[in-house]
Amino acid sequence: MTFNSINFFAFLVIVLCLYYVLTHRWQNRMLLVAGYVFYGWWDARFLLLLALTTAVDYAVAQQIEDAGNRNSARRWLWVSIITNLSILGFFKYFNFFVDSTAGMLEWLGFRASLPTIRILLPVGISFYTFKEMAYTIDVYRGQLKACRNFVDFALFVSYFPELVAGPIMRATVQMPQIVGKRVVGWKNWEEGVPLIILGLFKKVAVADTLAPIVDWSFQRPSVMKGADLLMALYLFSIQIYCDFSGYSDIARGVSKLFGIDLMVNFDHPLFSTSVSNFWRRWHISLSTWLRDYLYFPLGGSRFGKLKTYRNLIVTLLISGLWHGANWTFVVYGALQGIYMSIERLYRDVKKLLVGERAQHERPARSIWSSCAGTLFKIAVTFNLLAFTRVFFRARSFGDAWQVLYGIVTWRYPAIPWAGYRATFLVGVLLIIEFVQYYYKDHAVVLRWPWFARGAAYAAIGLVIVVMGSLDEDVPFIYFEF
Amino acid sequence: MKTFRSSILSFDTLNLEGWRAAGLRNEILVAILLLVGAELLARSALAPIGDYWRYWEPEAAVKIETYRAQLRTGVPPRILIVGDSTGEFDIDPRSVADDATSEGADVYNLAWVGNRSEAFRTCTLPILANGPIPELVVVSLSPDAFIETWAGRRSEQAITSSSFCKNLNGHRNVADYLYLTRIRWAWPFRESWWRGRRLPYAPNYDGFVGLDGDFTRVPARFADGSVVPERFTVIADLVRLAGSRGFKLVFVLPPRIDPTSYRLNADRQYREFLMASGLPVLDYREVPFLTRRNFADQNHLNRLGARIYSRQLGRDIAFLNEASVKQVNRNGKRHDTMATTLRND
Repeated sequence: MTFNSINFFAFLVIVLCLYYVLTHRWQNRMLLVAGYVFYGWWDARFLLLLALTTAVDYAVAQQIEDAGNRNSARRWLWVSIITNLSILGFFKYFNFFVDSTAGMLEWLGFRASLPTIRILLPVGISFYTFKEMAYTIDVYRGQLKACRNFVDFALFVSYFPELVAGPIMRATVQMPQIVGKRVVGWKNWEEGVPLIILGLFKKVAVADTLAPIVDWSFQRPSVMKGADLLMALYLFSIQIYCDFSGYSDIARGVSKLFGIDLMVNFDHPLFSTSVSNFWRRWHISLSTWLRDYLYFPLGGSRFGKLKTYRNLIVTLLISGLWHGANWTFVVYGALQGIYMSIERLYRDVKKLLVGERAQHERPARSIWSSCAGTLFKIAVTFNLLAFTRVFFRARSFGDAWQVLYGIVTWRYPAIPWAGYRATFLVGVLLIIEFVQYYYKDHAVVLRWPWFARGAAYAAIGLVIVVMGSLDEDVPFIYFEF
Repeated sequence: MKTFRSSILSFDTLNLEGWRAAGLRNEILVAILLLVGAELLARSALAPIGDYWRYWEPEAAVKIETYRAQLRTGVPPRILIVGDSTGEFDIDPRSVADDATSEGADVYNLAWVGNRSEAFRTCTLPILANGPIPELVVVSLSPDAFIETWAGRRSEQAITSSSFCKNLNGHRNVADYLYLTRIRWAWPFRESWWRGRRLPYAPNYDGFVGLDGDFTRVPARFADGSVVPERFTVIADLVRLAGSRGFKLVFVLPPRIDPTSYRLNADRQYREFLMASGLPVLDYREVPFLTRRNFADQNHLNRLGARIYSRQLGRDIAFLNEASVKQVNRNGKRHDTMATTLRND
C-alpha cells in the first residue's frame, strides 16, 4: 500500500474517521493496529520482525533506565544495538557480505563456494531500526525517559505515515506527541492538505514521469548516447529528490491530520551551494541521526583536522552503505565523504591564508554578481552530486563505468532532450521550489489569500491529473532502503 | 465540543473552530469548483473524438478503428500486413492485392510507426489473438524493432501505455473514467475538440500511409545501437499464436538504402534469427527494382517505391502460396538453405 495508491487513500479515510471519534487511549491502539495493517500489506511476515524489535527495545530501554550503574546500562544498550544491527545486517547485508567475502577469496586465489540465502528485504527496515536505536541511545544518555506503556512505544515505532520511508523521528520529539492528548484543528488541515498535494505532485507527476526516462538509460548504458546518459543522470537527481521528498511531504501532511508533527526532511536540496550545505538540506533526519549517533561519538571535529576528515568519510561511507547492500553505495558514500573533507580542507586553508576575520570582511558585491556567484555554486554542487549518483543508481560498477564512459566520450552527437512533458513538469517543480526557497518558507502558500490558495491547489491538482502517471503504480525508491 | 461519557468514543480531538474565519472552506470550494469545472470542460471538449483518444497517434487510431469495424462485420481481410513503419509506409495493400492472387485478395495494412518488438507484443499480438482472423499475416519489421535506442523506446512506450493497449491486456486506466486524464492522449486530436467536425485523419488506403519525397541524398539517420536478442522472443510468441489460431505467416526484410555498419550488423542478426527459426522470409533489403529515387529516406520508400515494392510482394506471396516451399531472395539469388514453408508447423 503506497501513498500514491487508491488503496492508501481509502485506508486513510477509514483510519481518520475512526481516529476522530475515539478517546486518546483508543486512538493510540487504533493507530497501532493501522500501522501493522499498513506494514503487513506488503508481506505479513515482516510484522514478526517489527514486533520483535519493538519488544526488545521496549524492554531494553526500561532495563537501561532501571540499571543501577552505568556499566549495567551500557550492557543493556549493547543488547539493543546488537539486536537491531543483527536484524538489519542479516536481512539487508547478509548476501552482500557473503558475496564480497567469496569475491575476495577468489581474488586471493582460493576457490570459495559460500552459501547465500534468498532473503526478502523487509520494507523500510533501515528506517525503523535506526529510529529504535536512537530511542535506546537517548534513554541511555538520559535525554529521554523510557516509555512504560507498550502501546505507546509500539505506536512510536510503527506510526504508519513514517514507518517505511521516514523521516526518522526522534523519540524526544515524537513521544510527547504520542503520549499527550492531541487536538486537530482547521490549521492542521490547512497545513496538511497542501503538503499531501505537493507530495503527490512530486511523486506522481514528476518522479514517475522521469522514472522511465532514467531507467531506460541506466538499464542499457552501453548502447546509450552520451547526451541521453547525461540527461538521465540529471533527471535522476531530480527524480530521486521528488520521489523521496514527495513521500516525506505526504507523510508530514497525513500526520498533521492526526495532530502529530513530523520533522522537515528536505529543505530545497536542489539549491545547495556546497556539499556540506546539501547534507544540511537532504534527508535531514538521517544526516542529523548520523551526526548525533555516529559522527559525534567518533569524535566529530574535536581531535584535530585529520581525525575530522576521517570521521567525515567514515560517517558518509556508512550513510552510503545504509542505502543499499552494494559496493556502489559504499563508493557513493565515500565520494560524499571525500567531497566534504575537501571542502573542509579548502575552508581551513583559506582561513589559514587570509585569516578568519578577513574571510568575513568581504567587499560589497552587486546583486547580479552575488546571484551569479550563487548560481555558479549551485551548478557546481549539482554536478558534483550528480556524479556521485552514477554509483547510487547503477546496478554495478560495470554499469557505472559505462555511464561515465558514455558521458565523457559523448558517443554519437545528440542534444539531450527529455520531451515536452518531462521538461514542463521539471519547470513547474523548479518554480515551486524557488518560490519556497526565496521566501524561506515551505508553507508560503498559506500566506496567500484564500482564492489564490484555492486556485493554486486546483492548478497543482490539474497538473497531477493531466500530466501525471496516474496509471503507473511506481513504488517509492526509498522503500528498498 | 461535546464529550461523551464513554471510554472509547470521544469528539474532543477534532476542533474545527475558526473554520469560517480561516477561509479554509472557501479555498477548498474554489479548488473543487475549479477541478470539477475543468472536468466538465474536458468532457465537453473531448466528446466529439469518441474513442480515438485511446490511441497514441491519429493515424493509428483511424487505422485500428477501421480495422475493428471491418472485423465487426465478421469478414476479416484475407491478407493482413502488420509491423512497424516499414510496413505502414512501404506496403500498399491495393498494389499487393493486384498481384497476390488472381481473384484480387482483400488486403489490409495494420502496421504502424514505432511498433517495435515490445509494442508489437502488447498491442498487435492481442489484436491477432481475438476475433476473426486473416488467412495470411505479413510481418514487416525493420531490425530497428529489436535495437535499443532511447528514441525508439519512447515511441514504443507511447504505444504500450495507451489506453487501447492497456485495455487489450485487461488493464483499466484512470482515463477510462476521468476525462481530464484523457487530455494528454487526446492532444493530437485537438483540432477536433468541441467542433464535432469529422476527424481530419481520413484513412488512408486500406491502412496505407504513403510518404512523399525523392531522396537522392540520404542523411545518416538509422538508429545506431545493438540488437537485444531478448527482443526476438516476440517472434516466437507470434509463431505460437499463428499455430494456435491457424493463420499463415510470412516475414519480409524491408528495403533500405545506404546502411550504416550498425544497420548491417542488425540486419544480419535479424535475418540469422529468422533463418534459424525456419520461418518463411522474403528478403528485399537490396533489390534491383528499387532505385534511390524510390526511397523517401534510408528506411522507407516513397509512394512510387511502395507501389513497385508492393506489387512485387504480391507476386511473391502468390508464388509462395503456389510453390509453398521456396524462399525467394530478391537479390536475384536463390538459396536452398533459405527454403521455408508457409505452413506454421
